[in-house]
Amino acid sequence: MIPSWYLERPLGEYTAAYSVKAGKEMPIEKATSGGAITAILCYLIENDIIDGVIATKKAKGLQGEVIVAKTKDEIISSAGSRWQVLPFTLKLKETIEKENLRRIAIVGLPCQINFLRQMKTYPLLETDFSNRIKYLISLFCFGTFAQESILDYVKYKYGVSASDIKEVKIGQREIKFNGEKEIRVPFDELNKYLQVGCLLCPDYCGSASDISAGFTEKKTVIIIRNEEVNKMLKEACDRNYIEMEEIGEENIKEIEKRAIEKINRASKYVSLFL
Amino acid sequence: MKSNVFHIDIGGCEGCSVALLRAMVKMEDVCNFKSRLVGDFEIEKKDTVMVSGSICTNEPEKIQLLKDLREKAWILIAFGSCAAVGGITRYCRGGQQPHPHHMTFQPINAVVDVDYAIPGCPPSPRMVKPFINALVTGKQSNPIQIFKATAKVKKLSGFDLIDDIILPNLCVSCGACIISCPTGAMHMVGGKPDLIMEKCIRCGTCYVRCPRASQLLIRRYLK
Repeated sequence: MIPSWYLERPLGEYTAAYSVKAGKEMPIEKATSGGAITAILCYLIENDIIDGVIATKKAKGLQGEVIVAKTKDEIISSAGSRWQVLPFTLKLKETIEKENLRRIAIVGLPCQINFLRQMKTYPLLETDFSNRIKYLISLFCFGTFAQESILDYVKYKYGVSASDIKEVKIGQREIKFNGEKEIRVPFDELNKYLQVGCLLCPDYCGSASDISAGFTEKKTVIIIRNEEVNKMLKEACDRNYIEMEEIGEENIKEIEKRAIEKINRASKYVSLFL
Repeated sequence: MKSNVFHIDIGGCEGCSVALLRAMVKMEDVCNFKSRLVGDFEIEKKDTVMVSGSICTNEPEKIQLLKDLREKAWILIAFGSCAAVGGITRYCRGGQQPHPHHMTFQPINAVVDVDYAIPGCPPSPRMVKPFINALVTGKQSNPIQIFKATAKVKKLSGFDLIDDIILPNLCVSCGACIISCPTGAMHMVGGKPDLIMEKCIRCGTCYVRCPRASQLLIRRYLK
């Protein structure tokens, strides 16, 4: 009994959708797919459209932490997927205020973008940094895993302990754990290690964002939700930061299919908690 | 014609009143905004009334005032945590110092039906204009739905967030509650938020900001 408009517009309101990859100017290797978001952020920072980016960076082992990146190098070093939700904490608020960042872009998951949009439109606290948020960028998300459980599962089933895992890559149907040897674990095996909170979430691509980004079978797709962002991206394209082309109906259908799958999953689970 | 929005305070610390007064100067192009604190006015049908402060259950004349307001007003908005969900006045247990004070407080929806309730201690003046604008233009969005659902509940606090979200393992550790708490009562313990009970002022901001809690709020009370 999810509201009907959710199913009518599973991707939310949007103005355009493009397939994007990093342009000639931007050699990016670590990114999850095409490096599109990293390239866009570099464009914004280098051309003084924003002062800083709130993104995630690998801290220790597989653990990540939320950082404020202010230069191109810092942004590039934070490229790539962290495969977990990283909490925004009070430290973040302090950093923004201490360094006096007035225009920031935030990259997050749909749940985080959801509350940040609420914070931006209707600030409930004097200390909300709502007027400092310039762009909200959401990544496509089908749910995140309970990290400790999944690492223990990999250890018992495949004999690879967490400290040996160097990198985690998320594919369309499997997760690759890279270390001394590469192991591929299909999603079906890991479904029960999804966080329960994620099973209730009906938002696949972050409908409250300015830009949603994710990847389908072959391409990195970016969904644009207002004209201002559209103009900004065209500018970035003209300056060779990114390459982009409009995507066809079948790619949109493919993303919509995933989104509807998530909505249906949410409506199934939410009734258990009412 | 511009609609009228009136503010009346029925008892509180005046933090919410000051927030509304600060917002007042920028409201001209959206509505006629008036407050009892700076002049008198007559409420007519089709007017919107914002009430701040919680209702003292030991004062019959205040309760009557609230009932009259409800009868006249087209939309009744509980502004601020005390009016919306009780807020810090929840801690008044009666018989408190200095004696012979004897007061207990309830959010205003204990006495009358409320249309929208905005938690926050106090809500930022910056949110008043976009909110009234959304009401005037009738534009629906997720936060507006949350404020509508909050009007149906009589308590929201960090305690409820722990009960409804963190203990049933619905928390995904996004950090919304921590960044939203005005007193720093929420902190991370082992990757999940935990409440420092003595610091919680029961304002409910963490609850409406939590993506899961707000989703449950809407599902429970609006659909």
